[in-house]
This record gives sequence, C-alpha cells and structure tokens, in this order.
Amino acid sequence: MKDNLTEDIKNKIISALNLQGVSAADISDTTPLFGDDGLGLDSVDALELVVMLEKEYSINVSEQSIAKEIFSTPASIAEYVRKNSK
Amino acid sequence: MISERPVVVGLGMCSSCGSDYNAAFDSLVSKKDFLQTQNLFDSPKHAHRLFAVAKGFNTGKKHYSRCANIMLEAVSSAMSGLNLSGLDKRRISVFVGTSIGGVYETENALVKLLLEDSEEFGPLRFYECSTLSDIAAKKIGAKGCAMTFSTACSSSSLALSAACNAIAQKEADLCLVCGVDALSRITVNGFGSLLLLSADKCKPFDKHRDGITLGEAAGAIVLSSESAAKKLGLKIHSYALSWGCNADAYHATAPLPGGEGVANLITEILNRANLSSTDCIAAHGTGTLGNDSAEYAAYKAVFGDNIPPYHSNKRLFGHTLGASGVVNAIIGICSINRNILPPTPGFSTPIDGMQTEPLKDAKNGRNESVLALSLGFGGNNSGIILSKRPNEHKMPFYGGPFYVHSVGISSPLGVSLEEVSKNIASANSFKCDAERNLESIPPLKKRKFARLQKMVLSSGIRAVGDAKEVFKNPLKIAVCIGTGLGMVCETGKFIENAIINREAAPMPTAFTNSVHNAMSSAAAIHFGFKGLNSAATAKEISFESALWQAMSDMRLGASNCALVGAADEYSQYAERFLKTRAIYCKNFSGNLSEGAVLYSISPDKLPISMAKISLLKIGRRGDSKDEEANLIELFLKDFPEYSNGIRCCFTPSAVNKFQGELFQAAATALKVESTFIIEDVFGKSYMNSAYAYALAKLKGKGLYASWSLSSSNLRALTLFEIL
Repeated sequence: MKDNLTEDIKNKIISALNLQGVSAADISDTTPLFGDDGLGLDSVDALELVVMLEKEYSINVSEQSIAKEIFSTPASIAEYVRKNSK
Repeated sequence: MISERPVVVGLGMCSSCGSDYNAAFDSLVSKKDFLQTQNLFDSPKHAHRLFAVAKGFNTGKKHYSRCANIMLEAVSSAMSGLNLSGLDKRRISVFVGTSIGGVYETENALVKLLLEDSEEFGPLRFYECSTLSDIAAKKIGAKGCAMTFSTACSSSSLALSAACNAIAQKEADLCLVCGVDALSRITVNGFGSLLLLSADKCKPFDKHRDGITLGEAAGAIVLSSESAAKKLGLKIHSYALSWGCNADAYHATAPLPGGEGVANLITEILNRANLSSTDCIAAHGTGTLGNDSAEYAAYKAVFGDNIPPYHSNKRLFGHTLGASGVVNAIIGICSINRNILPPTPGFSTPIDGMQTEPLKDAKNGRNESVLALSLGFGGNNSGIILSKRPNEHKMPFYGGPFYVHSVGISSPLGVSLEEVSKNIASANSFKCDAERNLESIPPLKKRKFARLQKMVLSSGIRAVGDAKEVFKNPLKIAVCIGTGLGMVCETGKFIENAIINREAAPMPTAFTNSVHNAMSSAAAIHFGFKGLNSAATAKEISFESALWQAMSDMRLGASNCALVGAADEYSQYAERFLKTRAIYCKNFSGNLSEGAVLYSISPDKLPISMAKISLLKIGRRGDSKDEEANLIELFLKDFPEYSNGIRCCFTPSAVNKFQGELFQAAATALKVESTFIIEDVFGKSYMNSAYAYALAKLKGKGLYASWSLSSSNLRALTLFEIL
C-alpha cells in the first residue's frame, strides 16, 4: 500500500520545483532527489524544499548541513515530517 | 602598445567602523567588531540577527538613497586633499560596483504601495544601480565614461579591474572606483532563504563556520596613471601590478568545490605580472561552508605548501556584498603600507585537513604586496595585486579594431535577423516570446531560468552557434551583458513576497535569479565560458558599457573573444520604474518594450565577420548648446581616419522634442546620410542600442554610426562598418 504522506510530499515537490512533465508515479519513495542518477535537483532546489516544508508542514529547517540528509529521498522527507510534526 | 601603470592616489571608506579607514584598520588589527541588531526595517524573521551597520555618514541628503549617502562619505574622504585642477575632466572616469544599489528605499516605497496603498514613486528609481555612478561622477565633476557593475559580491572588484584597464589603456588619466551596498530586506531575506546567515557572528575559515554576517559599507579608491600622479604631485599609496576576473561557469550560487576557477584566476594574474606569489592575501573568506573550503582549496592548488599569510576581515565589516572587493583592496593597501599582516577575527579552529591556517592574530612582518580577492554569485571571481613598489614588467595591449562575427536576437519582432527583417515593416508587437530557440536546454535545467535569462540564452545559442570557430578556449571567453534594470521581475517578486508574507516563505530561486549578473552567469554556465563575466549598467548606454568592458578585457589579452550584448525585460515593475523616471516621465508616450541581443566579438577578422568596430567612445555631455557637436569632435580626434559617408546613424530613442533635436545635431555633426530611431520600430527599452549592428546588417555594406543619448547625459559614439 502506498504511504499517503510520501505521495503527498512527491506532489508538493513537483509543484514547488516546477517539475514539468514529471508525475508522482515517476518518482519512487527511494529515488534520490539529487545527483544525476535521480531527479537531478540542485542545492537551490533543496532550499525551495525547506520553504515548502515550512509552508505546508510548519517544519523549520535552519541549517544547511541537516538539509542535505533530510532531502535525500521522498521517504527521508516523510520520515523527518513524521518525527517533527507537532 | 605599452600600457600605463595604474596607481592608487586616494582612499576612503565608510563602514560599521565609521568613516576613517585608518581607524577601521586599527579595529581590524585589534579584532574589535561593532556588530549589532538593525532597526532600519521591520524584520520579524531576522530580528535577532547581528549586522555591521554603517556609521559616520551624512544622512541629510533625502533625495539620495542611504546607499548613495554612504558612498558619498567614502568619496569625500578619498578625494580630500587631491588637487585635480591640472586634469582634463573628460579624462576622469567613474566605475561603481554594487549588488543592489538603493533598493532599500525602493523597498520602503513598495511597502507603502503594497500595504498602505499609497503611491510614492520617487524612491523606486533608486533601484537603478547606475544612479550611483552618475551621482559619484557629478560629485567629482568627472566627464569621462561612468558605469556601474552589478555582479553580486564581486561587483566592486570588477569596477576596480575596469578602472585599471581604462588607465592602463590610456583611456583615462584618473578613475574613481566605488563599491557600495546598504542593508536591505532583499539581501537579509535572500541570504536567509539560502540558509547562509550565521546564527551569531561569522567565523571565516573556521571548522565551525555557519554562514555570513551581513554588513553595509562603501569603499572608494582613486586611481590614476603613474605619469598623471607624478605630474600632479599626488602621493602614491600603492601600485596596481595585475588584476583580472573570471568565472567558474558552474552554479548560480555555489562555488566550484575544488576552487578551480579561483585557482585559475590567481595563476593568471600572477603570470600577467611575472610574479610567483605575494606577501599576503586579503581573502574573500565569507564564513560560509562552501566559500571558505573552495577558496582554501584554490590557495592550496596554486601555492602548494607555501600559501602566503592570508586573512579575512568579514567578522569586522560583515559581508558588504558589492562593496567587499574595494573594502578588501583598501585593507590590503593599509596592510602593506603599515607592514602589518592583519588577523582573521572570528577564526579559532582550522577546517579539518587544513594545513595552512589563516592569520589568527595580527603580525608585524614583511608585507610589500597583497592579493585582494573577491568572489561572487554565479562563480564570479575577481582579484588585484597591489604593491608598495612598481615592478619592471609593463603589460602590452592591443589598440586595433574589433570584429563582430554573429548575432543572436530575442526581440518582439522575432528571434533571428531573418524574422526581424520580415516583420520590421509591420512592427506592432512589444513583447518577446521567451520560449523560442531553447529546444537544446533540458526541461530540468530550463525550469530554473527566469524569463529574461531565457531571452538571453535564446539569443546566445544563436550567436554562439553561428560563430563556433570563434569560441575555442573556454578560459579566454568573456561574457558581458549590459542591462538597464537587470532582473527586475525576480527582484520585484522576491521583495513583494517578503513584504506581504512578513518574511515567511521566502523564494530562494527568485533571489538567486535577482542579481543583475544572473543573465551573464546563466550564459557562462550554459556555454561553459570561463573568462570575465559581467553585467554593466548605464541606462540607455548599458550595451556600450558592456562592449567597452569586453573590449578592454580583450585588449589586455585577458580574454580573446567575447559574447557581448544587452538585455532588458518588460514588467509591471519596469513600467512603474520607467514611467516615473528621467526621460520617461516627461511626455511619456509610446510602448515599453524588451529584448536581448548578443554578438560574438573578437579582435580577429574572419571570413564570417559581419562588422568591424572602429571606434567606441563614452563621455558626459556638458551644458553648452553646441555640446553634442563638441563632444563628437572630441571623440573623433582619436580617429583621424574618419571620413564622411556614413550611411546611417542609429540612436536608441529620442523620446521628446529636446532629445530629438540633440540627436539631429549629432547626426549633422557626423554628416550622416540618414538616421534611424530604434524605438520607432522596437518600442522603448534600455537595451535598444544593442540592435544597431543587426539593423545595419539588414541595410547592407557600408559605414555606420551609433549615437546613444542616456537620460543621465552620458553619450556613446560607435563607428562601425558592415563588411
């Protein structure tokens, strides 16, 4: 069964980053978001995702070094959201 | 031709340490900072942050921006005691570097507009960075060329290089160089959105560094030729031995992690002056994770185990963005003149694996020469070597003509010369289709570009594709794109969002795309061009300013070809700015327009060459009625082979009767057969003068001229031949 939160996050990534022509079905839970063997996002995209987390889930990420780990895959973002949701 | 040596004859600085640069240097040596919270504007998200707020300047001039007032303080101090009565004012030029100019006042006007619904348009004009070079020129009575560079954090270092070029190539006897930036919502929230602001105070080159501390400052350096300094009996503070700029062509904000671009730059400027090292480095050292490790890696690559003593002053002055290049140079000059190797306040623990630490505390020691570095967004690198003594080495420069080989156009009339030719007779559109010609850019990359960047890439792809034989060595290719208003849509969008959402949910991509050089760095990254990368701005003569800069870089052999052009975008913000600004506010009529035109240019005549540029002159008009003719006569003095028989003279716009008369006077003085007002076909845009070579190409072989009138009384004359 598909995890609702992870699916939700995929859709929010697509809209926050204007990933035209990409749908949630194209991204697996463990697709790396960065690097050429995944979605190929870059460091500025990661910052857009920081803003997205704050806006959509009221979760604050304030350090660059943590951001890298959180945003490695849709699943890792979902895990961070679960842990930090109030 | 053998170049003149630029020397420093005046220094001034206004910063968080006050308006005395010697006292500021003392504060650096004793590691005493003046960081504090700011109360210039309401900032709910960043209220706790510490900043280096400028002090000791006259805030009385209400019709100037805070930024301009800080700059004027530094200018007064740099000019004090200099008697320039023996100099021809036309041989005095002004180069300013700023990343955001007077945007603070523009933001205040937007707050009124967006939150209080009251319109106070005046301060919107401070957004135009070129206002600063005009104000500085007026202050010192300079009548030579004046332009502003806005390449984010390296801005004033580029201005310093441009001034050195102008003096070395004997185009000016004296240059005033200023770097300035004031605190603003856009930089605080922009760097905040990039998670680049330190939680406390910045820690340059430290293992535990966590970002920058923002600061505001202005630095002013007066350069003259060595011969002019001797003639006028001016005190020489230091000698400029070598300088230069290049680009990483890697990423919009991040530096190349291995520092290769910076290493190339250092090697190149050392080689150009026949030097193997300097006694000291005034590092960029911002205190971000990315910058400091890349910068150190560059030092290691160039100097191996013999890295010269280096230091960062960012804890003291804050990161003063566009001002930081000139601030670094001034601190460098103080350090050599006082034989002190300055410390790095904020540094305590070296980065893992770092073998050569920065100077922790000040040291007395041999310090004859300093390398001052400045590195900015878009991987925009710049540096200068300043020395107590001149060296024997004199740089040669090329004094001949330049050739235009290809053109790329993104205009309301089409995206190629052919389309423009077809549509020119029935022109009635003023908006570009920014999506054309971009098939070769993958969607993942394309989504990141703002509209104006797409227009620039579209014309760049054509200009580069049609002249492949020109663009051979990426390290030697300059990209210079002039712009009147820069990335005004992204800037407006970012500020509006920060104001309306009270700093929540900032827009990092819009911020990285808001800098004027977002166009030239997008082109550099797309094409892999690693030479000088710049965005010059000077209202209607922004194109000529970019062309001048590219040509001066090629004359010294720093680059051997260039992608040169101008670009401006129509936007509701542009309309607000322009309708209330200068020539546009009087008798405003016609249509605001947009476009991007780029050319490939080099000193080599090739079978594909379409035009030969014989002369480019920029200067300021005086007050006399016959001034247009006088200025033309003066400009043509340097071009004795000038003959009559110019087929057509182009001008970007002649918006009112007065300007029309001035243009006619110029055309009469040039004895041209016909005239062409570009605005009549393309609408009004600051980039209009960039169309001249393309339009002349459509008219056919022969001699042409372009006489551009800027609303701040600058004039640019170009003479060229369609081959």
